[in-house]
Amino acid sequence: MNKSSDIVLEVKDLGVSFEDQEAIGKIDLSVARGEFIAILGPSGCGKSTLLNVLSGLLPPTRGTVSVEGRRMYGPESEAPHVGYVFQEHRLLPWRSVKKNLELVLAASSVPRQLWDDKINDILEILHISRYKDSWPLRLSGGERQRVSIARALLVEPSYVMMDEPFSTLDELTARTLRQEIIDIWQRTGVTIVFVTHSIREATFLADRIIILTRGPANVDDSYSVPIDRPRDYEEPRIGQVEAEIVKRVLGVWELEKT
Amino acid sequence: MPNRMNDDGMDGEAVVGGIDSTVERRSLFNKMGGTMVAFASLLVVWIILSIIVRPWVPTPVDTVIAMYRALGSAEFYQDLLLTLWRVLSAFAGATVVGSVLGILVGLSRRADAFFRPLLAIGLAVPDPVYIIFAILALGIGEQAGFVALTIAITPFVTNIVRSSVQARDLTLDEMVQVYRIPFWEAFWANLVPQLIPALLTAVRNSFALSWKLVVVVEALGQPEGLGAAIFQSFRLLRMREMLALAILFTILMELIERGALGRLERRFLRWRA
Repeated sequence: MNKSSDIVLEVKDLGVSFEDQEAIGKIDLSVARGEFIAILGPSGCGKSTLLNVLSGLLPPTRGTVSVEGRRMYGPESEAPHVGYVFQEHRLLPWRSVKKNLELVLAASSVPRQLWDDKINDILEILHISRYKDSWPLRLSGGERQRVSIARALLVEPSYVMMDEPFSTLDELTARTLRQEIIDIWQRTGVTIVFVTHSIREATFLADRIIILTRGPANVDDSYSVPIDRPRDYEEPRIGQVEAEIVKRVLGVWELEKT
Repeated sequence: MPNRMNDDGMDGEAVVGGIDSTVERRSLFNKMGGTMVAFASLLVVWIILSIIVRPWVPTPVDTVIAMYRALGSAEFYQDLLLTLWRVLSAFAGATVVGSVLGILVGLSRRADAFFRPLLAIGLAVPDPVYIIFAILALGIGEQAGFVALTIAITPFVTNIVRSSVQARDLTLDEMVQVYRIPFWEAFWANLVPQLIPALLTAVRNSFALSWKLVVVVEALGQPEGLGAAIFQSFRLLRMREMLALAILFTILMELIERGALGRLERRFLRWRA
């Protein structure tokens, strides 16, 4: 079991506006250590803005974000160590896979003498050891995204954010990677905040689904997925829960009118 | 095992490889053919001009003889070395100053607002104006040439680098920010490699401009160097010698540009798929 009672991430009364445009209305959220949560919302509701706030890129207009009990964006505060798997890989194409990983390790608290072992281990887990010295542009989309996942996990993050990381991959590769993410999460106990607009993906992966309203985003519901692990992407129970969530969000996302 | 043989009993990949190499050979042949036709056309025009504008345009044969004589004289090598030194120092100065300024202007809105009109003026001023003012201000010496050339070439380099900095991939900037990569580490690992294609273009332009302007500087205000020798030949109406020196110098500069800069390009861009 990955869950424990201590809170890694706590968001209170969060609001974000750009000039007179409100991107996030009000979000309250807490994520326990080792939890896998999915943030589900329609396109353009402010999911990426929320991730930018949680990753230290964008100070909120209102509210607080605390990581491991420490406030982000305060005058004395230091940005937390987080991992981020973007929609696109965002690897530096002029650095080999190993050099890309070393770059983030250099900025982390991982001692240098452990780098080689950690890199070898994570590449082994993600089945990409043979590409250690390859240029990223010589890899397939799935392999690049595996390197991106390796990078996020290597820095010993407080939590890993994933922003629709499989949306650009073909269905078979995406399915394989979803299963591998679950395996890695169970093996390492890392906390994951996974953003998606796919209800089935959220149901398959997460312990809990935070359902956002249409933009500006507010939390509509925190839904605990009532399915034991291991789960199968095609199992009927996932389909049932998916249908239940679809029913819920139709009204919230105002899709019934259209 | 899937059968990869085609109807002729040949391996499929071997056929593809064969087609690739045929296409490559054809492309090389077209390229070489085009170059040969261009040089032949130039030669024909030269011969016609040498007949029509006689004696001011020397014949190709006379010019080749003059080139051979120049290559046998010690004076040519002294002038060449001096000119090369001037080209390289102006080129290095303009590239370094222009690149640093380009990065600064590209990264800072304030610097951009300040330098943009100055760069526009710098690019619009005819190069001989810089040279004349530098000679008037600093006298006939090494300094004047170096300063004039650096001022003349720097805006070109700055402009190319600035555009590239502003067109960089901002999603990579976000990535280095999320992973808390320190500024200088991010500068060398993320920003500079993105600028390499633009820097190589800037280096090429800077080099090409440097050697052309050095000849003008030497012709206008230096007693020694290939530019001065070309101008001296012009004053004495020795057109064969003038053309011979110009051609020899041009060939050497092209060799340096294609050899050294081409190698740099292959080295720095080898990660491209």
